[in-house]
Amino acid sequence: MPGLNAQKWVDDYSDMLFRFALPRVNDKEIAKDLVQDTFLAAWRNHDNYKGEISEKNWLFTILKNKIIDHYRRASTRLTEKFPGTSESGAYFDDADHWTNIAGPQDWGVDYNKNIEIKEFYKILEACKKKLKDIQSTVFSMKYLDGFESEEICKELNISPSNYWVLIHRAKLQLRACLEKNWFIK
Amino acid sequence: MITCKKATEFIIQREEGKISFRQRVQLWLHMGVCGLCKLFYKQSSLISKTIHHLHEHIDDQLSAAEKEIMINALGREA
Repeated sequence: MPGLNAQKWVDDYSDMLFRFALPRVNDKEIAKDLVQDTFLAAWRNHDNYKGEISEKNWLFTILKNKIIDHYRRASTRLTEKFPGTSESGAYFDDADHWTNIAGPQDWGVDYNKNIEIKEFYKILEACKKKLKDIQSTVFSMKYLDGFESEEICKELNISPSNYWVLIHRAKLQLRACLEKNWFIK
Repeated sequence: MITCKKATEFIIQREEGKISFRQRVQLWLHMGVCGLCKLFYKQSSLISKTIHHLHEHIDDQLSAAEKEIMINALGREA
């Protein structure tokens, strides 16, 4: 195909695309496959590329669509494993107040400032990885991709109440994991 | 008075603007007396803010061999 340089594409964009996909799918192999699929799709459809956006943005658009396809596949596989609502019992007592162990502790940081410490993000990534299945997908769609809850429910075919249970539990779990591994040592 | 579990639910819904006036009042009344939920409120919004920057702090790379495979796969398409 004239004008296309596979070597240059991969050199210029593969790591960038890979790092975008990785925290969203939590798996190196899957992230790598998505990048590969993105290059292939772009390569095959290059005739349709009008040059209205940069090549880089065009590749990212393709990758984002591939990631959404992945989210959808992951959610259909997992509907039968939809977690029960009793799990948040680990954080709250019979009266639905914080248990002694699970109650938040002060992290001693300025909560209004972004944290700029590399290790914090390593732990954040590790904690995010521990979120399970559909919980992780919902969390990524909301916090990494910035989708509205309505869109997430529609894409994953879940009800709003399921959505809130998943996001609530994900937040509780991530907060506890961060506290345990970063702030309180 | 709402429970802590309910308060944490409201806190998360509030971040998306999905909370009624009545719920908002209930939440503020609860946080007025519950230091733990107030902490949760601050920590939850800090997490929401920082997680947007997660990708900037990821430095994983594909290996040369993995890139070679990609280049070859594209080569076969040409």
